[in-house]
Amino acid sequence: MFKNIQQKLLLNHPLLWNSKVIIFAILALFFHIIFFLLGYSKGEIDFTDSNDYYSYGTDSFTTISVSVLITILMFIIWLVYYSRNNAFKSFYPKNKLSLFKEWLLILLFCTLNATYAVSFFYAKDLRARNYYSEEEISKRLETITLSSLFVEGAFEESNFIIEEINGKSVRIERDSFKYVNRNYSLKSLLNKQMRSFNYFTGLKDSLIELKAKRWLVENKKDSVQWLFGEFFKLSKEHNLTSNITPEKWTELIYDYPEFTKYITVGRTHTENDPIYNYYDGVDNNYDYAVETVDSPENAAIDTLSKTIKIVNGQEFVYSKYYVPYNALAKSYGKISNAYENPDVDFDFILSFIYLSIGLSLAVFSFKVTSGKNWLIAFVSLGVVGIITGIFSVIIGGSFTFPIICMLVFLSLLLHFVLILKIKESKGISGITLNQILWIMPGFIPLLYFLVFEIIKETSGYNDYVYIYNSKAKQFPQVEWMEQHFHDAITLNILFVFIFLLIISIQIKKWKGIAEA
Amino acid sequence: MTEFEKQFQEIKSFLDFEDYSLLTKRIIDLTLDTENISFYQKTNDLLDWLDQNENNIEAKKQRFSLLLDELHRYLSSKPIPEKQILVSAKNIKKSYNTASFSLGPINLDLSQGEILGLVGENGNGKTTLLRLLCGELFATDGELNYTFHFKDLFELRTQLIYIPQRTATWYGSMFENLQFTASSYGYKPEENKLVVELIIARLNLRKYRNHRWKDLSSGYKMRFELARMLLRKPKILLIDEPLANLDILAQQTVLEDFRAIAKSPFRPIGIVLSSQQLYEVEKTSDQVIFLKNGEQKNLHAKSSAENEEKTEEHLIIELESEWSQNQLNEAFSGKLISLKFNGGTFIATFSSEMSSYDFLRIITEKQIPLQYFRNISKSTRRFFVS
Repeated sequence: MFKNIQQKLLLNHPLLWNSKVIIFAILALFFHIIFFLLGYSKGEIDFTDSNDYYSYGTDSFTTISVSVLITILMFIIWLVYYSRNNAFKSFYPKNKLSLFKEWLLILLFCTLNATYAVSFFYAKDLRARNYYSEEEISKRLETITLSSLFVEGAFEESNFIIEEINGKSVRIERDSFKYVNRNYSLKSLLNKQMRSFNYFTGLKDSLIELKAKRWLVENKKDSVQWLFGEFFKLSKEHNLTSNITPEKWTELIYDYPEFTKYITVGRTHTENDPIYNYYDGVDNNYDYAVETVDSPENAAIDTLSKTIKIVNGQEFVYSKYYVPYNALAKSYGKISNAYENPDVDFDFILSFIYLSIGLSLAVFSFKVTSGKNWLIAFVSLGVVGIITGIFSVIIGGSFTFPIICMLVFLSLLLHFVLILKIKESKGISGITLNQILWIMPGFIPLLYFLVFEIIKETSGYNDYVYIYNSKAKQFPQVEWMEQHFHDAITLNILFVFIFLLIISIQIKKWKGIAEA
Repeated sequence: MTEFEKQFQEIKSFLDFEDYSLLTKRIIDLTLDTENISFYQKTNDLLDWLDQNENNIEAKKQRFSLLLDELHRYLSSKPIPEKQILVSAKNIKKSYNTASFSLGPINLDLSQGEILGLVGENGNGKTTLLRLLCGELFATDGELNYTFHFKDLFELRTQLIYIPQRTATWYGSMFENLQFTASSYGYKPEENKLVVELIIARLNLRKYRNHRWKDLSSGYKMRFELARMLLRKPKILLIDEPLANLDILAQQTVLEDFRAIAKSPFRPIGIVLSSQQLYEVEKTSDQVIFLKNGEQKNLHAKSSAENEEKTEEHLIIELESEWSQNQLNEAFSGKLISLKFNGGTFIATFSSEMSSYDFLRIITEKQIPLQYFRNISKSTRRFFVS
């Protein structure tokens, strides 16, 4: 099949035949499919798992290592075939856009070949998102979030407040707090923290919390009972067990109007977990409320809610009553994360696009100049980089390095334009052309960084930040620059394409100039 | 009689004398001149048939004759383009800042259908001049004008094909390489294979088309380079020492190929070649430039009279004899201007009244033992020995 494809390309599209991109793109797609399937399989969620540790670290490392290995191997093999015929170097006829098309082909292969890991991580998240429709998942996450108020967990309001009295900050101890015109004990369910998912916005979190606490304040026991029913439906669907029923759960926690006398319902059937377990996609916002009651380590065991078992001299504390909250939080946390914080996000894709552009330019510059020019350009640019770096450190200030880099780029560009204009001899322009192509993608980001630094410097932003530790609200230009950094980096890709289009036309003219 | 008719009569005589090797080559030339796919197919069919029926003389003659007539009919009505000057160099020089060597001034005109030979000892500027003419080097002085159309320097250099002495390695199948060249140069998919087959046959490479580069002798490598060159339809072909790695027979064949390629009535090109093989180059070339320390001396050039060496009135004979320089000097006394011993041969310069017949008469009369002699009065050989 490959032979037939190559024969047709040879006769009809010599550039495609020469670049071998079609064959290697097919191979790369094959690897993408494998990585995608692996990712999809690894994205399976174990709804019964409530362990408090990350389980995907090894997968990520292995996947990235294997994908890098395949990338390097494929790249080397492709390069061997690709460098077999150089029509441009042999002065075969080329139209105006031929070199640009060739770069696009190189970029296509480099992108496909550098992004196997993207397929893996995308498929992993996709699998998680594919379990339920987004509408359904939103409903389920809300059920679990609401239920978090009624299982063991941290409290919200602290046992003291700081008040300003006669110009001094004074710590005032307390054992109650005010909520909707009424004082509640700090141990009341109304002081419980809700554990939400990153799927919801802060506003939505507040609305959900308000909804649950309103039920309690307004004595809507049926709603609480309904919520527990929904929770148990989820548990049953995932074969999770509990030693209570929804009705029993209501009975254990419902204590209108104070909600102080309740039995703590555990979040797992195993030994009592510390409160501070971390799951992906689940908000963990306990850290500022530890002083509400005694910390779990120091608290006397609530024997109504807990039981102690001693196995081989080791003491284990169990909740007497439990629901499978942790298992649901962990598994649905992964789904929430797949929506809100997927591995393959814009930054991830952007970094791979830049990696591919970098690789493609390294190959393209080699193709249009020579191996010798490429190597000299690499070494000399490295030396210039080191000298510039040392010089920048000596001079100090954040402007020096970007300014020198930009001046180097502009000087190289000017040299290239002069060579094109004079049309006598290429001289060292084969070397400088390599460097122009390599530095070019960094020009706009460097310019952006420089302008940003200048704005910060001239507006006094840096001093302000140091003194007041405040952000840029008073500095709209700085804020604008900060907000639009991503846009600049994205637009820079367009600049790279436009630059390549223009320079590839000029490179063809440059190639015709005498070597010496 | 047109140039085509003259060449056709010559080709016809190959058939009459049953010189099928030459005939096949020339038929391929005519086929390529047609630029017609049906002829490409017919000639390829004949080549395939020949592979199986090499010894069927009667049928072979008949098939060749038939194809030759068809080609004649077709090409007779094809207009023959007028030959144009391709490049004109006026006082071009190449000097380097760091090196003491400089080339030029060089004056030359090269037209379509002409072969220009460059001769001279090593290190005298032959390769530099070739690289100047192909655009690889720029002239530091003088004017170099290409008279054909080109949009930019890249397009100019696509039409100037320079084959250096050491050619780059070809990777992969030879046939695929040539097909790639053909498709890059705009041959249609349906004619690609046919044209490549014809050119391979034209250069006697049919047996070697599936060989790898490293398995080929340097002579065959040169032939594959020439095959690629033919597919590239150059305006000017510039070759550095094409005869260097060839045996005597192959040298003559290649030079004959150059003549046929350059002098195609329908697709004439200009060829510039450098060589140490003086006599062979002189026989083939329309102009010869001898380079000594970068300076030009012309032999039978049409347009650069100012560079002509003013020694043509003398009779210069290169000879080999058992006799010593003194014996020969005595024998030729009175007629001789100078007699030099030049590494195994003598170079005898006589006054302009002497002719080759007079020289032979003295040899016969004085019974001078003679192993070899050559009149080099009109050869660049005299520049080498002077």
